[in-house]
Amino acid sequence: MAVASAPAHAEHGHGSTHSRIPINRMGIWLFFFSDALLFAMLAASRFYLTGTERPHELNQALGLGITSVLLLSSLTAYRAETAFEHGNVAHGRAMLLATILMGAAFAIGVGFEWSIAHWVPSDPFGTAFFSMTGMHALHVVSGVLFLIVVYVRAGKGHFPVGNTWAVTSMVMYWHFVDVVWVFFYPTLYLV
Amino acid sequence: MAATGHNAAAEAKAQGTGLKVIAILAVLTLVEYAIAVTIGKGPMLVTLLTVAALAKTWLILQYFMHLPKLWNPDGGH
Amino acid sequence: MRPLINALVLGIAGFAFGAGATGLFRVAVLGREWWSTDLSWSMGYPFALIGWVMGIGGWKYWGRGWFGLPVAPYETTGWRRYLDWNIDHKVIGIQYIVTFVVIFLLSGLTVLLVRLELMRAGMQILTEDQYNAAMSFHGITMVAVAVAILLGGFGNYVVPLMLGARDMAFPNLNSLSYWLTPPVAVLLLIAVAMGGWDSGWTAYPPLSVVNKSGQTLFNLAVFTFGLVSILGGINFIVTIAYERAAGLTWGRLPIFVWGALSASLISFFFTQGFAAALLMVLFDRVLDTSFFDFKNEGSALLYEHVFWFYSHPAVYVMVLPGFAIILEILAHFSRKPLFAYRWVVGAFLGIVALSGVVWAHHMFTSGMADYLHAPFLVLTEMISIPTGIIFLAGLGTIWAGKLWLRTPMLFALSVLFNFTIGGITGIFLADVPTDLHLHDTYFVVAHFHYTIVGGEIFALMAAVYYWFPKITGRMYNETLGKLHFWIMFIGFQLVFIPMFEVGVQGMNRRVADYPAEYNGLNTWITLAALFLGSSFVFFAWNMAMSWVRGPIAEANPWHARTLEWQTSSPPPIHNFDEDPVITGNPYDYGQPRAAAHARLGAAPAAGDSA
Ligand SMILES: [Cu+2]
Repeated sequence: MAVASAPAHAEHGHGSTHSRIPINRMGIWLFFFSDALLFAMLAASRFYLTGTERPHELNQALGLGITSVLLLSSLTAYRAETAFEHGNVAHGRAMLLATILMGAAFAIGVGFEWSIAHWVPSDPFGTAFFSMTGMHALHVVSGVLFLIVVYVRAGKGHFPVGNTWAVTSMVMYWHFVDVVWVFFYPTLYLV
Repeated sequence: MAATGHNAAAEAKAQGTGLKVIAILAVLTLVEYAIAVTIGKGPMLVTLLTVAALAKTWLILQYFMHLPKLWNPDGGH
Repeated sequence: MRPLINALVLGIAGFAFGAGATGLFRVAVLGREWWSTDLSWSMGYPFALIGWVMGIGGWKYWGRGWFGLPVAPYETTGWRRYLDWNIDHKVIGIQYIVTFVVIFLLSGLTVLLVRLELMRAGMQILTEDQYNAAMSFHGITMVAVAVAILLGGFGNYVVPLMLGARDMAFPNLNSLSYWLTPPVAVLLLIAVAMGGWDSGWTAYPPLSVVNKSGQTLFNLAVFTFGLVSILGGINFIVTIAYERAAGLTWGRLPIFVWGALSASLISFFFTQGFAAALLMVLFDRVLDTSFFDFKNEGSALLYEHVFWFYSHPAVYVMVLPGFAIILEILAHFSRKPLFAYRWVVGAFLGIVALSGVVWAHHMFTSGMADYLHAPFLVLTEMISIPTGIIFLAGLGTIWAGKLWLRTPMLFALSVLFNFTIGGITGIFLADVPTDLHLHDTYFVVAHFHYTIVGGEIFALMAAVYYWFPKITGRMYNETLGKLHFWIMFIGFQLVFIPMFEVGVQGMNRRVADYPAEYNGLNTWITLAALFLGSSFVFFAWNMAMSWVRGPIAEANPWHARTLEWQTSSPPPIHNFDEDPVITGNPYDYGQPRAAAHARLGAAPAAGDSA
């Protein structure tokens, strides 16, 4: 295989003695946990500031819609990962593309929600709403960018069977972003 | 490299798991929405939503993110 | 110098891009002026940071790999490595140590300015604004030094050696963590040049939401530093979990590794609190949210909760590695096994757990709900149990030992002395009735300097002298070392014992001026502070001269058993010429039949290394 596609850390000399994957996996889980705490702080301050009150009517159809899109994108991400693990690159790329498009759709949905919001950042619910959705959207957008890189590299054949950690880790990141929304959706729209 | 028969079967099985999981996640999301519009605000709603969110989280962590591979690197499929 | 210039150019370009795009948006869409200090810095800085990291080598050595492009090989020799992206944990350790020693000395000079102003009532050499800037700068830079120098510096250098590893688990992440720190220092200096910020290192709202723009730079800087802390913590946790040499079971880990692990767990679990708090202040400042704006039903108390949720545990990020280092040194220099090893490990982990549930002891006078007082009082006092265990382990280790009173040992012993005072005075601050009187007085200042300086900075000095021969390959000057010790130790007591008294008498901290009744003690404290400060002249001189022309050090000048001493000084690029195998406990001094802690390669052990 001509293209250098070694995992980013292989150069430090341990690759020969044991697999990098469990080490990378632990690292990324610790990162998720750590990032989750930041989201948890924001969610906690939403309840601290406004209790379980939701002073404004949100667009419920939009909320349910973007939530479904993000959830569905987790399925396509899962399908992409599974396909790459079994050498099914064509299907994997198609599913990555679907994930990217749904991620973008979600971000646009949030942007639309912001544009029609009839509350301002300076009221307590607005404070929580804009900071929580904004921080989450930032993660969605960065996830989309990562997935685009993976998509392009996959097209160049960088991820043969047994060397799919880049796909797996980005897909895991995508699921993590979805898990955050699993909590943010009820916190902002339903409570 | 063409996928062997064994690979194809294993892949189909894994993809099937994904479909089952997403079906349950979708149902849970709809249940969340339904209870939010039917029963009013209050501690009952918060409790139910928390339970539903935890259930969804468990499904995603367990099946989509392969959490068990953290302590059992070779298993989990 | 090339990488530094690249980094600066790309950093400035990144800033121009971020701030420029924001300005364009403001002019074209919002119809406002293009520059708004708070917003422009907030939007320019993240891009500046990305540019800086890419320029220093993050792209050349690492980022390209993400896109499937070939990456450049690292420098393996020469001093240029230290000004470049390098993944060798020994290089990164030295980068941290040197950077933070410089910041430490700079911050120490700043506080001498503060002390000179406080020498007498009234304003003499600084304006109130300058005083606030100097005091705040001293506060945050010393906190940064305290958090990063032991874990980032000595942790990086020593932990992989002690583990018998070739490097950290994530070497590139390690380099990234280090290279995120210079922007922090630069940003804080720019903030000072812009007139500083006046909210100390704690940045309490409502002040921090409405004060001048130096605050925004402070928030961005410290947020970045939080990132350093979290990434570093993750790296240590994974390294210690995965990179131990054959035979190095958890029960055989040197105690410093346990200390580094505990501190890493804390920075990993809690730093997000500080990050979130700073982010919320930033949102309030530039995005017009109202987390802390009471006019819009925000709550300044929310900040204190989120902030102290990290910032109490942070003190254990500072002192746990310090405790661990002195336990190392006490064992090696008493030629005795570490007393109650397992209890110490339990105590470390107990502190990790307890540190997360005591934060509101900083808030007894804040107006939080009364029912919170009793639980936080009790939980805080409970921390003295594991701390006491660590302390007793230190005493048990030197008990009836043959003490070898070299400079590292003197510093280690002084930590036991200092921390006794720091610990006992803490009780008065943890108890609500006494705290109501002592809160926000110089008693608090004296207390935390006794714990952090007395507990950690003295341990830092112990570590510097202890590992100096390993890191530089040369020996420091013992006479100058002892001189440094005695001046620092005596000066430290002379400064901070009277500070308790002035606090009990009611003098408020953080103020630039005070009633003339406090003149006498303050003059004394300032003179003693100058004396204390003079000790660092000996330190700096000794370090600089010994590094350049000190006598060549042996591989193991202390005849210590732990693994980092079983390789050359300084160690080769991959640390050990042969893979080490761990065969015994690290501290079995004076045990006739004890196995060596480690042997290198597959050859049979050449005899007890003790
Ligand atoms: Cu505290």
